[in-house]
Amino acid sequence: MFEIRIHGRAGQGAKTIAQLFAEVNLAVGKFVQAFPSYGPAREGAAMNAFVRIDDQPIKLHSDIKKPDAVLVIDPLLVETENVTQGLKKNGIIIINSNASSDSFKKKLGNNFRIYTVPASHIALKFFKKDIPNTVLLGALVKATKIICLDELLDGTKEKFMKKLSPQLVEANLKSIQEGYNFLKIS
Amino acid sequence: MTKNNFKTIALTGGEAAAEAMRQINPAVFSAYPITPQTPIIEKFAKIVEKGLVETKFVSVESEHSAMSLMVGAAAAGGRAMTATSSQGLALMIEILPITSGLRLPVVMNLAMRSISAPLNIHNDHQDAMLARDLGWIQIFCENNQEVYENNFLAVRLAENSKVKLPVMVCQDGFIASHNLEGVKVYDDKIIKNFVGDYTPENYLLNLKKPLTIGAFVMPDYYFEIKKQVADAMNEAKKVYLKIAQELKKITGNNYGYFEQYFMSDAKAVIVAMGSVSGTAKAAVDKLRSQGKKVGLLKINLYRPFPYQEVEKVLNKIKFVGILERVMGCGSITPLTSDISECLNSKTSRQTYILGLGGRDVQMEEIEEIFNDLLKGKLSKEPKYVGLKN
Repeated sequence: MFEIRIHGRAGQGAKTIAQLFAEVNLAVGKFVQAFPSYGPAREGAAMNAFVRIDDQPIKLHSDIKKPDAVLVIDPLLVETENVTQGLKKNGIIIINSNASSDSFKKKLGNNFRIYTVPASHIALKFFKKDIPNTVLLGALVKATKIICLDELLDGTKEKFMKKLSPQLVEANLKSIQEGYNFLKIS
Repeated sequence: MTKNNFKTIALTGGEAAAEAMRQINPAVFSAYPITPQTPIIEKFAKIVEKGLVETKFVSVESEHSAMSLMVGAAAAGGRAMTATSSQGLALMIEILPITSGLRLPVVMNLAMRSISAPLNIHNDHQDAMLARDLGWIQIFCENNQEVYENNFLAVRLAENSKVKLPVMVCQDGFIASHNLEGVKVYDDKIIKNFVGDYTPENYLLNLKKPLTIGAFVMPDYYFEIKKQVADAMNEAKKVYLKIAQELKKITGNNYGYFEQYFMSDAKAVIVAMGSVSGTAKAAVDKLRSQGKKVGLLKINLYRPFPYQEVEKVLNKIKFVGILERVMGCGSITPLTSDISECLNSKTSRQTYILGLGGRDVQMEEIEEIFNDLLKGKLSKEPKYVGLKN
């Protein structure tokens, strides 16, 4: 079982990428769950989305308290939320930030594998908009190896083709690729 | 079952209900939007808009109107479906016993949510329990696959000529309704063949055989008509199993009155309904791996309640714990009342109230409950799991 928590703000697409990542994993034969946690939801408020992935059918219907990996869409949430809460020792945390991963060590400590990816920066290049989510998924796949890059690309293409223009599909695939390439496993 | 007659699709519980309705193709659907039922009405509205069903989708100004419309549509002879949650169900209450009293086979998807006050949009079973004695059949779902399949079972059961009663398919709000899971969606042809067309025996729009529905009844007949509803409920119990067997031939999933999970040699058994049953199964797996004799009884059919059958499977169990997502206010909680009826003097029971208003229930908490039961720490007073001091 692999459990992921995504930190974002309502409206940033945390739920959407949680669902996308679950669907891509489902497509390669894994068992999945993806769910948001709703507070008194309003745009801009801090919120979480979660993904559970397993090779066996998933019986649990509880919250994810001890994630294996954390994605932070909005780096300011590192200041206001406890983004490493329950994160397993040596767990992965990927932050959308231009800063170095070392700059977060002071705040988050040495117990985790901290990665930063300038996902907003990369997204601006491909979308002309700050939608960093698929960049972060590319990075997540590199760091976690839950599925391989081609599976993520194929699954995303398959899903987005039904909804988005070919240009936007392409922009998303490039975002994934660049997020994947950017993250370096030391 | 190995034939490739299904596709595994990622669906939330709400979407699974809507996808089932697409295949059922009701004549009329009406609902008033309320959280966490929202994904049901949202997805089904899109299905109707795309012309994938012939359903008349009627927008209304309240749940009371939605349910009244169900009565009208079903009385007219149409297959009628709705969906709601919490206060929405509370507003429908006036019409619920009218539906069952008139023997109208309406099917409702309920995304279960707490009841106000305090206002809260999250899950427990207090809304479903409002309707437990109103002549509605109630089926509880553990996961999205069950939501999808139980809709077909519900329609067949409701429309069966020996039953003719409304059915409520209950899924946990948010925990199921907003949780994406892989759902095996079977070919339209197979499902349509299973569900069949609805051909009512008597209906208002049959001009060749005029009839009155909803007549006033004096004391000389009211009693008898209510007894017929009770008799139909008893029939529903028999018919449920037959339809469940038929459904099993398609999906391979076994929808008995309940599911027994590691019960044969168990010393301590938890009785549960809905999604928490899944978490309890995970707890059973873990404790079994440590050699502890624990098991789970998951209730699928809550109304009519399978008293005799539950009694048979619980009569050798020493300790029974009952999980309830309901607050008892000056009363024994509903599932505990039902289960107590099934226990002999050798079995001790303990009620655990948990998960109210969306309070999370972790597997470790259920492990603790099992350990509590195995030590024989039981009392007539309910224990509150996860309650802050």
